[in-house]
Amino acid sequence: MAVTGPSSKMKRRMMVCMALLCVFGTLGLLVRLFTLQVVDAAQYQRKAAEQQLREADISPKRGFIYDRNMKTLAKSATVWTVVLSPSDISDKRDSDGNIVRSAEELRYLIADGLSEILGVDRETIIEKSHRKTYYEIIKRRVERSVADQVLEFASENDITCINLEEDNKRYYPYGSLASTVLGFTGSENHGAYGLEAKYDSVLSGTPGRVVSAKNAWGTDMPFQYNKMYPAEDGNSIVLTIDETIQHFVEKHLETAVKEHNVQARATCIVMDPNTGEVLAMATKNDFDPNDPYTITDPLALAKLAELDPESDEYADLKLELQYDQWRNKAISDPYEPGSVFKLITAASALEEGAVDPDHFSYTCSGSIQIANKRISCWKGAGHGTQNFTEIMMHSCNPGFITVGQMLGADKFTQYREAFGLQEKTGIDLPGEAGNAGLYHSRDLMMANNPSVELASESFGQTFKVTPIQLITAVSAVINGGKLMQPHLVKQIIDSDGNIVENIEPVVKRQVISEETSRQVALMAEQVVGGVGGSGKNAYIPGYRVGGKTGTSEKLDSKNEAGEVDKRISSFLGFAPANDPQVICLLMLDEPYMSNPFGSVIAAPVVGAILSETLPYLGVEPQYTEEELAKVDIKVPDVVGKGTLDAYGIIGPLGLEYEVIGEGTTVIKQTPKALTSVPKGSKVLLYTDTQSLDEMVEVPNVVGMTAQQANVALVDAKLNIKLAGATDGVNTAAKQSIEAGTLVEPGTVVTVQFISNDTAD
Amino acid sequence: MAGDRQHNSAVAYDLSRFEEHSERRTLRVVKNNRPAPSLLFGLSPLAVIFTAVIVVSITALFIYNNVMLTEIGAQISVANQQYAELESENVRLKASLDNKMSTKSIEEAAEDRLGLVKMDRNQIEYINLAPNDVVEVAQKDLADGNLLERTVAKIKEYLNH
Repeated sequence: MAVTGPSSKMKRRMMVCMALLCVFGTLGLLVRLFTLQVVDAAQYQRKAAEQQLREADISPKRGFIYDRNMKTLAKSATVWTVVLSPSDISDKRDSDGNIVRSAEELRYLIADGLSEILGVDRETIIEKSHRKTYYEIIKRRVERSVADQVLEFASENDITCINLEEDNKRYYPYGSLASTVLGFTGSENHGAYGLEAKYDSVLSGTPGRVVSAKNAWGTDMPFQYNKMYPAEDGNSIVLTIDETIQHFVEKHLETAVKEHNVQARATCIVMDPNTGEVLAMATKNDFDPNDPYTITDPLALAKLAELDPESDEYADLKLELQYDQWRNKAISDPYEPGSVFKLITAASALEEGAVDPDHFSYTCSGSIQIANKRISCWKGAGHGTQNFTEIMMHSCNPGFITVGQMLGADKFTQYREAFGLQEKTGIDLPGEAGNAGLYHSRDLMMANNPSVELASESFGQTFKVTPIQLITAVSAVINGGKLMQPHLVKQIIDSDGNIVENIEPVVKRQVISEETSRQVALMAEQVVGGVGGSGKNAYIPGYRVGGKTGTSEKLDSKNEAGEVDKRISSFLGFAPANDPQVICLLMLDEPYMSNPFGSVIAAPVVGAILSETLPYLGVEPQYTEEELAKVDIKVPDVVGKGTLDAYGIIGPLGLEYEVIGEGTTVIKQTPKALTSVPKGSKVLLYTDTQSLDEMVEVPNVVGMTAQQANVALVDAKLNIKLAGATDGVNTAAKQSIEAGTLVEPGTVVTVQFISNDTAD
Repeated sequence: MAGDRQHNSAVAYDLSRFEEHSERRTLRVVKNNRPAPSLLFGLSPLAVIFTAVIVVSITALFIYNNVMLTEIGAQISVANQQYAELESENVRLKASLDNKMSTKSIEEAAEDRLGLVKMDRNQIEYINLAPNDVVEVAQKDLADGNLLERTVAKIKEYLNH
């Protein structure tokens, strides 16, 4: 029988089956496709995005802080945090499974290496390496060079459990300069204190984000897909602070703190009285914002050393001391202003016409009776009869109590408020302390007549103000009567240097008239430059300096016997008195010495600060004839000349001379050429080599008067140069060459004098 | 002629019609002038090879391009990272330099190491001017200069003579 192929019927059936199979197969695929692309679409899109795209935050750069001359006071850079993954510390095995390096060996290797590179305690690293975590910070904020060493160490030793994480560090190139003003940033690169905190939103900027396609290596494929939301870098701030003036202030303030054993810190503010711009603001003892948590004050360190470092008391005290050193005394510590406040009392009385300066007269007997209280003058014997300017010059307490009574409690409190002494100044710094509750209310002062509260406040006691409140108020007294808004920032600029905002001076209100302002400024000038003025230690030749001394008692701080024995010495100075360009307030809290009067210890410091600041600001000295006559002269160069020629050069300049040796030619002179010496100094002319070896010992002249010191030094074959308060009753405070030092005869010794006329 | 056909009608059927005629086929040799048979879609092998080379080249270049992009992208990423690190190092070094150049450091170096002192007021000479006095800054004397300046000075002198 012949073989036949499939019949057509079979072929048709086969076609049908194949068709059905195709349909069902395709249907399955279609259903699956539908499930993947429609039902589970969102889930798979997310997974795809996670796999194919990479998200990264773009950190904004924190803005800089500049001084008024665009010197950088604070800036940020990227640093690294060294992180250890202890859970990844394990045995290292070779291909046969034998242990080549045990986990314990690796642990010690890491500890040895990192402790050497990072300076971290080895035992601490070992302890951290035992923890059951994947993330242990070994050291924060290490710089590139150190990070490179860590990487090299890890690479050389085939260590994979050490990682580096990016972090930010804030640099303060000038160290502790203006530290209490600048503040510092915390661990998350946000401002923690000072201007860094106040302007944190300006400086921080806004983070950005970038989403890009990534390849199998995990790096970007920007040509495939890249969506970026750029970061907005923080803006920078330009301060009113001048780094140079800040340096002058800090240098002299630091010296004053050391010399006068200041126990409760000191502060100084320098301001432009016409605009309210703060040119310098310093508090000592302070800290280095590059390392803010380290305590620098030796007294504080001594207190800590008495406690066990592991104890809670140690931790609590350390925290308290850290807050103490960060605190900006200029704005945060109200204090009793003392006699500096008399400028306010005088201005108020003159403005109200309560006092006629041409006819005012008061006789000080050493005390005054107000109601049931006897209030003494600082000069127990009394000042005698004085006019209005003289009570200011002598800082007479009963005199100002009288002025206060003439003004009246109502007007006194009105002017106290008008001068801004009952509210915060609103300076752009965090932590400004007001003085609410720290002064007598108007009702209390008006309750009695005469008022003891009015009497004591008239000369600056029994109430408190902050240094910034006081200097702002006195600025209004001398600048024509305008109360200005003190501020530290004058411009906000973006990262390209474009000005975002200009902060203009703001006049809060007109408190007194220009005429009254001028009168009080000239009175204050007499305090410094007038005969018998209490502020003569702040006198600077060639400049018209005005000011007021202050010595206040810390009435709320008594010793074990219940006595008030702590003082605050202060001085407020400004120059030039006829057109004030700069004002300076200095306050020394608890100077530990027998003579803590503001006239003795605070006034010279302000004088020193102003003597450097005024020329720097371009204020030229205008010498009177009397001052010019006292100007030192330069010693001419006579080496190599004959002795007769030398006489002819030296003599006409007003110098004396002495020839030493038998020769006829000058081979050496002392003082050397171009040394500045006072007129009448002696120049020693050496004419042979044998006499060159002579040396003399510098005597101790500290404590002597100018005349005594002159005799002592001349007897020792030395020359004296007088500095400081050289007129009147004075005492040598320090000498430029220490007593006992062997020097050449004729050497000039500069002796600093302070006036013995102590005054409040 | 139709009559002929009619005459042939005496013969009932033309059976010759149903006879199979075997046609004698004559084979004759024809020279093959046609081109060689094609490989693919009517194209010659050369064209195909050429096309294949082009396609492979383009594909290879495309792949190479993407590889280069990826590698360069990685290099850019590394370079950006290095730039950021160097920028940070620059900030650190500038901070260190600013610290050394601060007013305090300069003053200490000038006074303690170099023995310099601040300008004293006696180093400034004050001159009292009368109301009609005029200040004139001294010009450099051309006669003390180089050859050109001396020549110009001589010409000036001659003209002013």
